[in-house]
Amino acid sequence: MRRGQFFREKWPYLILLVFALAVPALFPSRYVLQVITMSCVFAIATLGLNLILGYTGQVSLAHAGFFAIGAYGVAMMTKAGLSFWLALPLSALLAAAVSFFVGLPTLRTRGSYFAIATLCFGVIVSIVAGSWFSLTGGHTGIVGIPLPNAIPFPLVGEIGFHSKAAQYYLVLGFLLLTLFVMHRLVNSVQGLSFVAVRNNEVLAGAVGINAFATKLLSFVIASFFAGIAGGIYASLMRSVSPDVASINLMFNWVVYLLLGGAGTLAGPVVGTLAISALTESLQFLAEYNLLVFGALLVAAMVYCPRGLVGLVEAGGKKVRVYYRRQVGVRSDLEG
Amino acid sequence: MILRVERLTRRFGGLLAVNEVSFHVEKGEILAIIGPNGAGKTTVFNLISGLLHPTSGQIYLEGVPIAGLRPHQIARKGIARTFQTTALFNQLRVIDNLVVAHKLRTTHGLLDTLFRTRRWRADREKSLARAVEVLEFVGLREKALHPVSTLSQEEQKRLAIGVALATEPKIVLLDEPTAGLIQDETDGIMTLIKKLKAAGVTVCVIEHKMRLIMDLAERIIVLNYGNKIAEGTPEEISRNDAVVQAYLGGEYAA
Repeated sequence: MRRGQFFREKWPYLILLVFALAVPALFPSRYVLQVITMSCVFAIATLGLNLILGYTGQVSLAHAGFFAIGAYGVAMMTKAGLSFWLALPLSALLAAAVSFFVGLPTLRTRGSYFAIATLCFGVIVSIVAGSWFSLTGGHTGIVGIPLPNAIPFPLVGEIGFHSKAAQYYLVLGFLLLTLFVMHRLVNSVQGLSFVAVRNNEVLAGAVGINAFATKLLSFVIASFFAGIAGGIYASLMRSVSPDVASINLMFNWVVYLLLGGAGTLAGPVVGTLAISALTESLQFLAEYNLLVFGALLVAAMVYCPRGLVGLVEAGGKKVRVYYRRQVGVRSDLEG
Repeated sequence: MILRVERLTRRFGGLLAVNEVSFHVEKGEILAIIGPNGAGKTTVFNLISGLLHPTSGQIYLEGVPIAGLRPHQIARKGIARTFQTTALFNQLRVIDNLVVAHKLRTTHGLLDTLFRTRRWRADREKSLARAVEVLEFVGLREKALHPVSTLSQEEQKRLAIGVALATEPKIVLLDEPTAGLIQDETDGIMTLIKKLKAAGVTVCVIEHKMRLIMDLAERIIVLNYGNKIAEGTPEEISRNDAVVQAYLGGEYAA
C-alpha cells in the first residue's frame, strides 16, 4: 500500500531518474557527454548558490571563490598523493571553513553591500591564485591532476573513471546527493527559517530566529557545495587555473539560477542544463551570444521573475483552475 | 509581576523619545499603553523587545534583567510582539508562519534535519500541534494551507497575533492590533484579545481607540512626549485632567 502510494506520487521523478541514467546511451558523442557532465558539475555549484541567494535572499558573489578553493584543494592534495575520495571532502570542508570566516564580517552588511563585499572576496581568491606562484602555479595553474581513484567493488572488480560515461555517472551521483541534502534542508523548519530571514528579517528576530546565524549557516553550506563542485571539476578537467575563480563563471551561475528559478529545488538544475544547451547551440554567434543572454535575462526578470520553474508551476495552476472550472460548470449543468 | 520597566530612557540625538518611564505588568492582566501620536509608545515596545537598546534604565522579565539583549534572545526568554504595520512571512503558507515561529522552542540541529532523526520528527510533531492549536485559537483553521496573500486584512492581523502566540510567550506585546480596520473587524480583534486574557495570556497593548481600551484593559498608562503622565484604572484615567488635556487640548479641561 505504502509502496504503491510512493510510486503513484513520485513517478515523474522516477522517469527523470531513468532518463538521467540513460544519458550516456542516448548521447554517444564524447563531446556532448562531456558538456552534459560539466553542466551537472555546475548544477551542483548552482544548487549551493540557490541556498544562500534563492532561499536565504543574500546575493553572494563569492561562490566562484569557494569553487576555486575546492578546485585548488583537490588539485594540490591529489597531486601530493592523497586519494580523491579524501581530498574532495577535505577541500569542501576547507571552502566551508573559509566561508565561515568570510561570512562573519560580510554578513553584517545587507543587500548590495553584501554583494559587493563577497564579490571582492571572489576577486581576492582569483588574484591570490594567479600570484602565489609557488603554491598555485600562477596563471598557468596546476596541470596533471589525477582522475578520481577507482572504486574497488567486491564482485565486479574495480570501477575506474577513465571513460566519459563513468565520469558522467560519478557527477550524477554527486548531483543526486546534493539534491537530496537540499531537499531535506528546504523541506524542514530549518528551510522555513531561511525563507523567513529572506522574507522579513525583523519579524524573524521577533520570533526568536537568529537571522545572522541563519544566514551564516546557509552561506557555509552553500560554500561547501561550491567546494564539492570545484573539486570534481579539477579532477575531471585534470587542470585548474585562476579562471575557476573568475567573475564570468560566477555570473553564469547567477544567470542559470535566475532563469531556472531561484528559491526552488529544480530551478538551478533546469536552469543550468537549459542554458548550457542554449550556449552550445549558440556557439556560431561567438561572443555575440552574450547579447542573447542579456535579452533573455531581461525578459525573464520582467515576465517570469520566478524563472522557468515558476513559469511551469504557474502554467500548471492555470490549467488546473481551467479544468476545474470546466468540470464545475458541467456538474452545475447536470445538477 | 511578569514584566517590570524601570526608569526606561531612550534618546535619539537631541530628542528624548522615552524619558524615565516606569511601569509593570501583572501576570494574566491586560495593560494598555495610550497616548497621542509621537508619545513614545512604539519606542517603549521596541526597547522591551530588543529592537532598540535603552539609553538608560532597565527591563526585568520575571526579575531577570533583559535590557541590551538582541531581539531573538528576548523572544526566547518569552516576550512576543506584533508590529503596527502587520508583519507576516507573506512568502510562506499560513501554517508555516506558525511552525517557523515555534522553531525557538525546538532543539534539533542541522544533522537531525539532514537525517530526519527521531528528535527532528518529535520536534516537527510538536511544532505542527502548536501551530494547529494556535490556528484554532485565532480562528484560521480552515486557512492553514493558504498563502498569506489570500487572507483579508483582519485575518492577517489575527495571524500576526497567532505568530506571537506560537512562540509560547510569557507576555505578548500588541502594537495597535486594530489599526486600519473597520468597526466590524475591530470588534473581531477585540473579542480575540479578550479570549487571550481568558486563556491566561498576559497582554500589553498599545491602542488609539479610547472606547475599546476602556472596556478591555484592567490598567492603563498614558504617555505624552515620552513621559508617563498617568497610570490607573480606565475610570481613573478618563477622569484625569492631565490625560484629557493631552488628548483634547487645554480648553476642554473642565
